[in-house]
Amino acid sequence: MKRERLNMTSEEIIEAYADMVYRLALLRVKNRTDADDVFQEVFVRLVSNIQKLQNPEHVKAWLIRVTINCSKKHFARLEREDAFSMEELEDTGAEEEGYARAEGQGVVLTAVGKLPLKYRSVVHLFYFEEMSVREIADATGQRETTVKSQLFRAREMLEEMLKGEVHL
Amino acid sequence: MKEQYLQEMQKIHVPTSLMEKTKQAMKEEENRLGLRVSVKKTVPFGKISVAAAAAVIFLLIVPAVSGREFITQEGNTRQEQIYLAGKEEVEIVRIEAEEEEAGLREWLTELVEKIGELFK
Repeated sequence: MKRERLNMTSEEIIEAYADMVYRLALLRVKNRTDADDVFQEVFVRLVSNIQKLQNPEHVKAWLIRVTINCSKKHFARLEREDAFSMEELEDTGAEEEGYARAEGQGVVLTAVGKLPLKYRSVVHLFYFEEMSVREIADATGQRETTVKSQLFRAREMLEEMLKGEVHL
Repeated sequence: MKEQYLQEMQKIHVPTSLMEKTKQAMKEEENRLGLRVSVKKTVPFGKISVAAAAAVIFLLIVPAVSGREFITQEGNTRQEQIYLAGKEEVEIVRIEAEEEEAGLREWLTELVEKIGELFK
């Protein structure tokens, strides 16, 4: 079987996917300072891994998975440094620095930020990046049934939070 | 809800300063790894042709010029034939000389015997 070769440079990749990575990082870590760190780490890692990537779809899935992993490591580091607690980060987030109301974020975005961490990525990838359940499962390393149940549960929670504020 | 979420999310972009800083970090990483993934290199066609022609010359013509040295059967080269011919001739001469010597000895032996008989 002939192996596909990616015909994109690292510079082209960052131009194409920068916003996607940044939005996902920001959604997960909920403040710009940490999102900046995650963003930079993801694309520096791209440099040493670009040879393994075969096509644009593979690139997208790889970037999503690395963004999620880097943000997880970010949480683990903060735990060790005793800077924040996981509960604080996974909590409402509305008063988090540089995020939500302080940045003039919308109601729905604020509500998504309040979801448990594991639901936020899935909701963002499904509704904003318009990825299929299968694609999300591949990118996040989960089963399709897990992704489906997370989407279902997240939607229920969002509906509860946004009752009366947004037309559902 | 989806449309509103899309609108709200689309307002978020990577800051220009972060983009530039990250690109710089990527270049530094490329240099550290010895990679040049952002530069596409192509070999000029002319250089390929020259290299190919040189290879053809080296692989075909050089062995042809020195080809006789590669023929390993003994006696196939002219020099070897001459040598062998000379050697053979020498051998023939030697054999003839030996035979003549043997003939002379035989003659002398007979002569001595005859002289011996005369003085009996």
